[in-house]
Amino acid sequence: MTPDPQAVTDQASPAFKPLTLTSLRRYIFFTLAALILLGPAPGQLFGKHSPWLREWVMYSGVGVGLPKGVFTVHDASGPVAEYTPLQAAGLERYPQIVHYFFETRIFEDADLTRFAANTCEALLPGQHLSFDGVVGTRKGWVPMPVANLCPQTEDAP
Amino acid sequence: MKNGQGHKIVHAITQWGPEATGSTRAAGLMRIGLGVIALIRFGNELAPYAINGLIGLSLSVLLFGFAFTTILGIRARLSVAGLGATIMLLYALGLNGVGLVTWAHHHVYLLGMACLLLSLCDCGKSFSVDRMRALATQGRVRPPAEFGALLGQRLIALQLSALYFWTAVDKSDWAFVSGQRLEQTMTWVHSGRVLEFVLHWPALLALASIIVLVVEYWLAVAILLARWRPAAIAVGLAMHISFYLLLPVNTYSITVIVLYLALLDPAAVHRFIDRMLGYPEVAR
Repeated sequence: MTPDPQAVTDQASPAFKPLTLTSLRRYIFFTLAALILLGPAPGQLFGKHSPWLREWVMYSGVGVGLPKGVFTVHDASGPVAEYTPLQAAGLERYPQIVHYFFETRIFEDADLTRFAANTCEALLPGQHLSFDGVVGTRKGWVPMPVANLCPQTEDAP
Repeated sequence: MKNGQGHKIVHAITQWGPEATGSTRAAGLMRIGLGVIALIRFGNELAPYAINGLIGLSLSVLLFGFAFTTILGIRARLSVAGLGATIMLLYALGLNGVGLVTWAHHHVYLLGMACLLLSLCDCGKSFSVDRMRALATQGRVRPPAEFGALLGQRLIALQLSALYFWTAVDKSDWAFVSGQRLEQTMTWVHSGRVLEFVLHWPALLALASIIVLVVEYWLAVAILLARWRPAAIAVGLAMHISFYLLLPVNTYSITVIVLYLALLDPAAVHRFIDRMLGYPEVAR
């Protein structure tokens, strides 16, 4: 019987079975295939995250921390003006940056104050600002109504 | 399952995967495409005007060096492996906060992995300086065959399938199906812009979300099955072009579109190029 011309053998150690190039290709293929197909499973199914097992969750966090609703300026007589979130933040549109670099994303009530800081600064004595709406989270929109966003106006008449 | 059937399935899988051989033209085109995408993605971040220090210079030399040799096909497999390794190094630097945070994004990982997997193909046997050298050595009377191992091309197909499957898994919740997550994304991207009106149609966003979810699960399987592949490629291309127009996806969509070459029958790609160049058809 002629030897396998593709055999990669360690002649000095007969205990090892010859590893043919065919076998090597199969090991490489099935190892990489398993890594590619199952690599995201620990993180995406069981929450065991590893940077080297890439999870495919593209755009899942984009929009998290943004408000949807109405910012309203009130005075003693009642509501006097309504603003969209962009107007309340003093923006024409959200910046073209990676979303998580947007510093005024909202995760708690206090963040709404930072978001609407421009509007808070422009309030006249006796006015206060409220928010009636929802904020984006990974689980969808979550209600976050706040009656008075600008603490310095709390004691205003 | 009978033992004979099991052997047949194992045989079919090994023939499709680790033992795959065929025309190298699709792999050659992918090599050029990925090299160009790498230049576009990192060019303005690693060009000499944008870098500082020895590490920046080293990354610049590696990226530009390997990208150009990849595109030209000079020691093509080594070059595309080097380019993939460089991109994965940038990915690691991004993950660890040493490089730009955007280097740790999914489109960078996909590009790096695709280059590494492509290096497992004979991607230098077509459209390359390597081929020109082989022609010069062997002569044009009996030109070297554009034929070789395609193991890496099959792994790229599996990578695309896994990408569709796991991104669909991530979307399989009420927040996505109800259109809320898509609305959040659109709020960030389109508020105050020309397509802002879509935010006023939550039902449309919910419908679009369900379509995307169903299509991604379907693509995960359909791209691997010859019977469904033509439809899958058409639907997938439409989806990725939509992503490209509606979302700032960077090089993600164009990378996936280039990688669709891995889904095509290599012999069909070969014949198509022959027809385009006016060559007589030769069975492959």
